[in-house]
Amino acid sequence: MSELKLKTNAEPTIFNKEMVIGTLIAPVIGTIIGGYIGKSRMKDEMEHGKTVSENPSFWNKDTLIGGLAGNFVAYIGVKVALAAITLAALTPIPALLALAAVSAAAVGSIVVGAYIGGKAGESRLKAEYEEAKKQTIVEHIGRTTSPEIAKAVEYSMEHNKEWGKQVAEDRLLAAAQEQAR
Amino acid sequence: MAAFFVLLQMITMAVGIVTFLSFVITPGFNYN
Repeated sequence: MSELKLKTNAEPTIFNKEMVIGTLIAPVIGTIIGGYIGKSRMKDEMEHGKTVSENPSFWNKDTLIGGLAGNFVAYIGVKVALAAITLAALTPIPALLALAAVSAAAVGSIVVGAYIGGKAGESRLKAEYEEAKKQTIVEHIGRTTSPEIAKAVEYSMEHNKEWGKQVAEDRLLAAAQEQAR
Repeated sequence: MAAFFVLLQMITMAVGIVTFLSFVITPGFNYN
């Protein structure tokens, strides 16, 4: 499994994903702790780059955020439902049935939240790897060949999704022509 | 009723912590 370093220029801030995670677990205390953990992560990523892997995982940070957000939605939902059940003054059996339905919906919202977050995170990780690949190749060409060619390669990578195929084809063609001569 | 809501809040927090820990300890979890 190949890993690359993605250079990032995101300014470290306490308003980050860890702050969201902390807030969703324990508002205020979690918000502060999460905010600072996230800020130091961002500082580290700015200095050393962010490690990105070739194989994006569904099981990522955004899955966790989605699941926790689902849990928060469930909390609000259960609170409203409890108030409604109390107001409706249901007899014990319907009240218990309603509670069971609400609990099932609560678990469902955690699962749905995690799924949505996980899928979003998966495509983010994929995009980050592609970006890191581009950075690595362009930097290498800039160092070994010339900055102008590196710029040209960067441009073609950005504007032509099949640039790699084109480069390979051109090389094969050139090699074939060389042999024919 | 108020006690119910406090209990609910504690359950939510506990579920949040359990969710967090279960993610973090699961092999293959990619924190990035």
